[in-house]
Amino acid sequence: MSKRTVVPFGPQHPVLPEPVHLDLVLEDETVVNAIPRIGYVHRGLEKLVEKRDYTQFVYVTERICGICSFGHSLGYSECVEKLMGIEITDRAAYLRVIFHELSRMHSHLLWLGLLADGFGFEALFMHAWRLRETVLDIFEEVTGGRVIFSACDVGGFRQEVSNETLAGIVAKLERLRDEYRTIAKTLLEDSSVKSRMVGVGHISTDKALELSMVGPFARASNVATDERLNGIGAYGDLAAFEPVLSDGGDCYARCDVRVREVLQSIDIISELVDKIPDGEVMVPVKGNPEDGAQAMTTLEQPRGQAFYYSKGNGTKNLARMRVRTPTSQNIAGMVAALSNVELADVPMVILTIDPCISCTER
Amino acid sequence: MGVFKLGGLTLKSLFSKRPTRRYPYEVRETFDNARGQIDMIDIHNCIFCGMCQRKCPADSIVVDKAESRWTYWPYKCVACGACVAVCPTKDLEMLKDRPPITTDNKTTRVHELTEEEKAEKARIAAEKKAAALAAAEAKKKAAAEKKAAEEAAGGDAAGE
Repeated sequence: MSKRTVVPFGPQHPVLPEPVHLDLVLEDETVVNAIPRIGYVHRGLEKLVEKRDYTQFVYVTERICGICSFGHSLGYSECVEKLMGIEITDRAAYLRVIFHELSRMHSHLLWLGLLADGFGFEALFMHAWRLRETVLDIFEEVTGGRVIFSACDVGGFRQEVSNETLAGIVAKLERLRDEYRTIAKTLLEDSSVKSRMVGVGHISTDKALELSMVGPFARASNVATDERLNGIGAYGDLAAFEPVLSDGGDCYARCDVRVREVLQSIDIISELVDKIPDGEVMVPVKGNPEDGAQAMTTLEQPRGQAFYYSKGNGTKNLARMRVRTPTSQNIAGMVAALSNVELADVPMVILTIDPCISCTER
Repeated sequence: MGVFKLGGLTLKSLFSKRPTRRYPYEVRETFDNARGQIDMIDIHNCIFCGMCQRKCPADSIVVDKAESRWTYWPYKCVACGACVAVCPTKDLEMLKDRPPITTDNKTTRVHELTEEEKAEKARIAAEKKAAALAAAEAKKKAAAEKKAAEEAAGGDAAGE
């Protein structure tokens, strides 16, 4: 047995958009163990529920993470609506899902750019982010914010979005689809890309189930886990929904799953825009959550299943607000995927897992 | 090779409009819906109810009813628009341009009634209060008189 060395990786590293530290235990060039350490961006947002009332807190949950910001406000709003027994209108539910799928697209396109940048494919990175800009422009045009757009609120959707605007969004996305296909083809068929990713960081289906992995990371190991299957909100009105699966289990399969999910999101948005009913988007919210009432809900974030729990105490402040985010589930999987890979492949493995540390630490 | 696979897009980008711009020199026009900062339309319409202050998640608004003053910290504001939505007199508006870049992030914007207006408002309030007091007094007096009359009538009846 060769001598073991420990290489510290992070919290500041060019491939990491957010700070996480890994102690990589190496034998020669092979990682035999990876010890993660988090805690660099903890902000104590769940504690803040004592200071901000339940209508203000939706703006705090949006700030849990910059990439999945809409998803967090959506999850929180759904949870509080369940807690207080509020029925939102169908149009609001559809708009929420449309914007959630748009934010999934922007998250995956951002990830695609980061991945391309990670292996030095600068042109692909620029093109991916150019396409992401289209989605961000849609957000800004419709809601007024680019990344954190305060559109979701307890009781519905704050912006009245006309059917013409929605048709315009679909037309923009259809134009984006063709360009995106070219980019995706380059990523998935290029030999240099394949040489970096095929067979790297393999996780089998059994291992994925054992480690309770979620999101595209699990779906790439052929585990059919997707909260959208539960049909919460407007997802239940989709004609058919099949999660995107791949049986590769390696970095390449994870890319494949995310690349196809963007196209799936475009399809979902087109279908919902065709079906969207007319009506109001907000219902009035009155009163406070009851003392001792509890509610929980789940949501498929771009990175996987997120879980929201809230408890009322009879005042305008919630007694407890809890979020379990996909990356905190996936860290065990990340450590497993890192064992027995070359040191040079570590950035690829970490990027294809798409960790979101701000979500994990809140 | 990735270069050849991206060839079509690369050629297209060579001959199409540049997607980027030289940012500080060329600034894109903001979208109509963009949320930059808020402002008060007319302080005279404000009823100093303090709803905007209570709804603000960033504590960027302070309403002082006694002094008739509305204070706003543009650099604390997160431009969520909760105050604009909740204002009962629709006296707040969302501006699409962000506050200018500064080193002084304690900048405030204050809307306040002038001294004369405050005096006028105080005078009107005092008059209203006096009128209300007078009305209450008159009502009390009338009630007392009525009671006295009733008692007198009752007394007369008993006397007879």
